Amino acid sequence: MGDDFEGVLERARAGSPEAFTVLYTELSRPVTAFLRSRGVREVDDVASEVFLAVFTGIGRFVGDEAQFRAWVFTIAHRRVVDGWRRGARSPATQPFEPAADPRTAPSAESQALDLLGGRDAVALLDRLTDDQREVLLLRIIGDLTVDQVSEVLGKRPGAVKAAQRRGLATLRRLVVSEGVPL
Amino acid sequence: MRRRDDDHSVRVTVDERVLQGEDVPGEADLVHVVTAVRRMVQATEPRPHEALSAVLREGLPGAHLPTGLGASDGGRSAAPLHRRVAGYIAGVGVATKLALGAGVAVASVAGAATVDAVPDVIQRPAAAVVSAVGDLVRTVSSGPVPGSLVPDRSDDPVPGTGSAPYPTTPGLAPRSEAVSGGGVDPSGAARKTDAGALDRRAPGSGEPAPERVHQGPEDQLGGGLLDPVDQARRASAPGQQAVEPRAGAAQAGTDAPGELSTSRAPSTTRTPSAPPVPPTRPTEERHSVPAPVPDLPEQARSTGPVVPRSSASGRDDRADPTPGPSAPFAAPAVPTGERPRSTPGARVDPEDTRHPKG
Repeated sequence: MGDDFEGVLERARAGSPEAFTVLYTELSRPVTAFLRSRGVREVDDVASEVFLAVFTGIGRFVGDEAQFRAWVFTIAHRRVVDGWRRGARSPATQPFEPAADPRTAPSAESQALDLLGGRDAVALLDRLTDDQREVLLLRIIGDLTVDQVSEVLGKRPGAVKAAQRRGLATLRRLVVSEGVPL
Repeated sequence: MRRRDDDHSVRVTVDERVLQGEDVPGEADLVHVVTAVRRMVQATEPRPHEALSAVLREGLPGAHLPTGLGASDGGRSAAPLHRRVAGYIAGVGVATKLALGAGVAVASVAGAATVDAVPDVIQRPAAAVVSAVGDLVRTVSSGPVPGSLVPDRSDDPVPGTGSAPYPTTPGLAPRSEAVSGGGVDPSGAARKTDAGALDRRAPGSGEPAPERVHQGPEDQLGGGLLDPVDQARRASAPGQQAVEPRAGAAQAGTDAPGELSTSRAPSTTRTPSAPPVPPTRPTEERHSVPAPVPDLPEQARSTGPVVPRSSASGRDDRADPTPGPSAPFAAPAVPTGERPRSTPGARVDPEDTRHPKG
C-alpha cells in the first residue's frame, strides 16, 4: 500500500468495499499463513472472521501501516487463542493417521505446504515451544518488529527477544544435528 | 548492557539477518528454513465466507464518512442528512406521524395569525380560526354545562353504569348473597346455622333446591312410605319441604346405614340457634325454614337408613326380604308402612360380617 495507506484507511473507515478489498488482498495471505502454521483447522473461516472483525472495528483504529499490520495480527492471534480455548472444551479427537486416510487427493492446505516446502518447516517449528514458535512466526510471516510482536503477544520486548534467540538456536541445532531436509 | 543496546545488537546480529532471509555465511540451512516458512505466505488467497464476501462486495452500510475529506465530500454530506431525516420520519409510528402533522399545522396557523409579517389576507382567517379554537377550549375547560351531562347518564340503557352506586335490579343483591351464603356473615355462623342454605345444595353438586326435593329419602323410599305427618307438613309448608327431606338426604342418602348416627351427627352442630340476619338479606330464605334443631336427628331416625332402590330391576329392594348382591349393605326388610328402627343395633345385621362397625 505504501503512501496510499492513509487514503485506503479513510475509505475503509467510510465503508468503502474497494478499500476493504485492498486491505484484504494485502493481508489475507500472511494472516492465513500465520493461522495455518498455528495449527488452525478451518483456516479460511477463521481468516474471514479475523477480517470481518478488522473491517467492523476499523473506525476505532488510529495509526500507520505498520501499526495496522500489527493490529490485524493481534486480532488473528486472539482468534487462535480463542480456538485453543474452544478446543480445550471440545471432546478429544482421534489423531490423524495418514495410512488410514481413505482420501487419495490431498487437501488444499497440505498441497500448498508440500508445494512450497512448508510442511517440513512447520514440522520444525512444532518442536519449539509455543512462545518461541509464535514469536518466530510473527516475525517471519507477519513481518513484524520485536516491539510489534511484544504488543501483539502482550509481552515485554526483552522476553520476545529471548524467545526469538532461543527459538533460532533450537532450529539451528535441529537442522545441523538431525539434518532435516528442506 | 541496556535494553536499547540489546535490541540494537539483536537487530544487527546474525539472527536478525536470518529472519530477514538474507544470506548469512554458515547459516544456509537455517536460512532455508526461514525461507520455507516465508513462502507459506505465497499460498493461495483464502476464500472469504458469505458475510465477509458481502462486506467486500457491498461495504459496511453503517460506516460514516469522516468530515473534512475534501470538497467532493461536501455534496455527499448533505445527502445523508436528507436521508437521515426521511428515514427518521419513515421509521416513526402512525400516531407519531399524525401528532407531528397536527403539531406542524397548529404551529403554522398560530404563526400565521400572530406574525405581523404575514399579509392580512392570510392572517385574518388564521386569527379567526385561532380565536374560535380558543373560545372552544375555554368553554370546555370552564366546567360541565348544567343539564348537559345528567340526561346522558339517565339515558344510559345499561343498568348499573349510571350514577347509582348500587345496582337497583332486585335480583342482583339477593342472588349474590345467596351465592355467597355465609360470606355475608364474616364469622360464618350463618352458613352453619342456616339449614336451608345448606340443604339446598348437595355436597359438591350445586343443584337447585326444587330439583333436590324429589331426590329426598322419602322419594327414594316411595310415595307410599311417607309419613302422613310429613305429607301434611309438605302441603302446609313448601319451604319446609325443601329443607327437611334435604336434611335427611344429606345424612342418610349419602352415608352407609351403619355410619349414619356415628360418623356425622351434623344436625346438632348445624342449627343450634338462628343467626343474626342482616337486614338486606331476603327473609324468605332464612326465616321460612324453621330449622327445627331437635327435629333433624329425629327425622334422621325416623327416615332411617336409606335403602337404595334397584335401578336395574326397578323393584324396591326393601320389599325383598333377602337383600341381593346388588345391595350388600342394605337394611333388613321392613314391612310396608313400617319404618325401620334407627338404633344401630336394629340396622346392623349381626350375621352380616361385611357390615362396617359404626
